[in-house]
Amino acid sequence: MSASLAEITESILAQLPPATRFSTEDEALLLRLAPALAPLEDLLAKGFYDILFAHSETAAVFSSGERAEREMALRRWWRRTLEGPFDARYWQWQAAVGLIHIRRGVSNPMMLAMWGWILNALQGALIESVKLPPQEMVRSMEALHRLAATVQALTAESYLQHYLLALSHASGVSIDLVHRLVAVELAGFDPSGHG
Amino acid sequence: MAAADDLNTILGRLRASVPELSAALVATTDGLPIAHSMNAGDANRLAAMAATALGLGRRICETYGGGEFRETSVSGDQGQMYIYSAGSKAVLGVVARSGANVGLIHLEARDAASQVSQILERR
Repeated sequence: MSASLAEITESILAQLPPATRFSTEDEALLLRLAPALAPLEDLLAKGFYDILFAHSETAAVFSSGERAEREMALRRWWRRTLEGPFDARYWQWQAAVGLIHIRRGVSNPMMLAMWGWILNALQGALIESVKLPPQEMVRSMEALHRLAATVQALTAESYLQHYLLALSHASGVSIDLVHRLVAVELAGFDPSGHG
Repeated sequence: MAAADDLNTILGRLRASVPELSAALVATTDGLPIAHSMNAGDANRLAAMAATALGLGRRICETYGGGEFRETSVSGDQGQMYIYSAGSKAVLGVVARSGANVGLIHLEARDAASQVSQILERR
């Protein structure tokens, strides 16, 4: 497949308006709060997979005995996120998750729903456990929301792009032609009929 | 004469040589119609389909070691579409009703595809 992960990552990040992206200020804040956030690792790792294993559609993604390995992967992500840096390597990792999700059968609705859970869990913990002052709490949640938006964009769009690239490569139909086929197919589509 | 005029001339000659053809078109490998002569139908859609068949045909040739892709066809109970590689940039598609003279179609369309290729490679 022609486009590299670095190219795909850069192209996705470039589409995000700077004000919505995780910023250097967000990074500084998150790294400053890291000592207080680090103990939330157990809560995240357990809660995340409790949710996934409690629902048949998401539980079906996993093979038996895999939970410990998956929890460790989430713990590694959380530690790396709190350690920084938020460099090209970090963002490419988040884009690579999209590719891994295709192979694992993890859909974007599953990924987006679990990001919502992570943000809610972090917000609850920041209020109840970390006990940040209100202003700091608001700032922290804003930073976490920008992190979530950036990672979600990378993972979801990388999923789509790698899906299309694989289809293009396997079938010999260029990406430009795929876009054209979609445009031709949808030209006569009336969305009002689906309201 | 512009390339589009040249291509339209080729398609006109092709259809005159094989009256059973109901459509002939030239499209880019990305599925954009460059020139077409059709009794009916959507040139945009047919061009995109022809380019898709070309791409898939090329990949199949690569996969089984068939060398450079030349042509493919799709047959229904009421008609056929023949798709020819026309150089690196284009594809020629022709549609004929059932019972048409396949030998004549291939003879004329292969020659037309070669001419299309020469015109587009010159650009």
